[in-house]
Amino acid sequence: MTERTLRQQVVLITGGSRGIGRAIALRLAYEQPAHMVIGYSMNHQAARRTVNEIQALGVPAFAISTDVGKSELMRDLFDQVRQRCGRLDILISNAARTTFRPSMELDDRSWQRVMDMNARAFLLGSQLAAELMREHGGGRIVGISSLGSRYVAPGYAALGAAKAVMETMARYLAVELAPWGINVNVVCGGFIDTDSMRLAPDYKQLTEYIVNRTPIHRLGKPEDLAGVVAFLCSPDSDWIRGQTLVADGGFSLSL
Amino acid sequence: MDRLTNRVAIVTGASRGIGAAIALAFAAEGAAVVVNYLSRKEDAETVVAEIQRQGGRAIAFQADVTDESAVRRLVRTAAQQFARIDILIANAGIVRDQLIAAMTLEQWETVIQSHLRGAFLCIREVLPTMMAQKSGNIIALSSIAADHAGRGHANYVAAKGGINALTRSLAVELAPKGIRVNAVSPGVILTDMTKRVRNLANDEILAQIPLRRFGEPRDVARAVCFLASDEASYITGEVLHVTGGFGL
Repeated sequence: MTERTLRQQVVLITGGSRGIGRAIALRLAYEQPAHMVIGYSMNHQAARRTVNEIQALGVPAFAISTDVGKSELMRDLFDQVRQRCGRLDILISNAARTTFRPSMELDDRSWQRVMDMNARAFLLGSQLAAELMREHGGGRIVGISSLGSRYVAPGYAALGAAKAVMETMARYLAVELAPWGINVNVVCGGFIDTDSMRLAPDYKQLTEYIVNRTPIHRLGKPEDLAGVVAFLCSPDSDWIRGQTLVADGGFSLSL
Repeated sequence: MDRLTNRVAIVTGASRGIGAAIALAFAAEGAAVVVNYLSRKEDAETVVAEIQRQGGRAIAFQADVTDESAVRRLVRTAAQQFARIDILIANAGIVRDQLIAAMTLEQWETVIQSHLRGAFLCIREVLPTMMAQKSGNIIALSSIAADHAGRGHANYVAAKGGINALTRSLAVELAPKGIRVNAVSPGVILTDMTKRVRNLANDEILAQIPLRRFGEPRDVARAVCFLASDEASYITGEVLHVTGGFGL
């Protein structure tokens, strides 16, 4: 795209310092928004590096350390966006965290934590974002989901359930926030090759299995999702509401 | 607007409505377009003239997509004229609404044939070219009607359900050849095809669309442009709903 679709707009990306969030940040920075805010949890160095990369593209940016699972910190994050940028036009709800356990080993605490950090974070982020967005006639909210919402992957029960909540909430929010001029959609990725995925003990075996079963015959890259997010942040997607777009190279088609 | 520079696209049923909007949007993105039509020669030539007026490349070509030899001529002409075929939009299709008890075999078959046989013939015909290029992009037009039941158009619903299944299976079959296959599923769009249903139940339908308006053909065309672009390079086998929230 040659036209810059995000001029004058303020973008907030949670979990924006690394991996998929970073790729989304850099892709959206190309659209020259007025300001970009990166939410991150603890990797200060990565956050600083990503902010520098965004600034190198000519876009003012800063990072805020937060915990999307804590309501008061989420409120503080959006307060800071309001104070420092004056508005919010785009929220990318990308931060995700889980504890990989079989369902029988999910105790109260770990279940609640995964729900707080993924499902409630999407709801609360959307609520806080919508309040800011309606002041300037609307905005866009994009959630990042994964195939675990609809298929079984080892140890993925809690996060899969939380992602299913996100996809369902996107439908309700899309209908309920349409009168405010706010568009809500979700991008659902397959296995995406990121730093955190490379830490998996069975990485080599796992990725071989996935590549062999992916019709496009390669692993997903963070950029594969970033392009889809950019589309959902552009006016080209105005008529697309409450949808979950699957970008998985065809992997799930024959599951 | 240069996401499709140097690409060549065939759009079936492109003389008006969604097909025409796709042809115009593709040209605006830099693609050369074959504007296929069945009977509306003047409308097709108007689309071509509009593309040329904006500096784009296009030709109009008459072909009945259910006619095997006509489809062969359509594809051969596209390849000869523009040297390659990157994108096929299987858009042509008709409606013959009727309650099932009163539906004639002719009403059933003409609808199924225009959508399914038409898509099959066009897809099969472009494959040798796309396979030789080791790249290609096929997008079929489905409908929200495939997922949300309504009365009086079972033939159309069955055809569009078939399009969704065809899309998924061909995505798997053709991915190794570098060909992506997706579908776009519009809601109620302001076209001649939906005029009758809009006249019958205008307010009732509007009340079910969160955005409180009918879609414009260009709303669908912009989603098709995205799927045809490199930004969607990891999306295949997907049925993208473009409905303004209708059906949620």
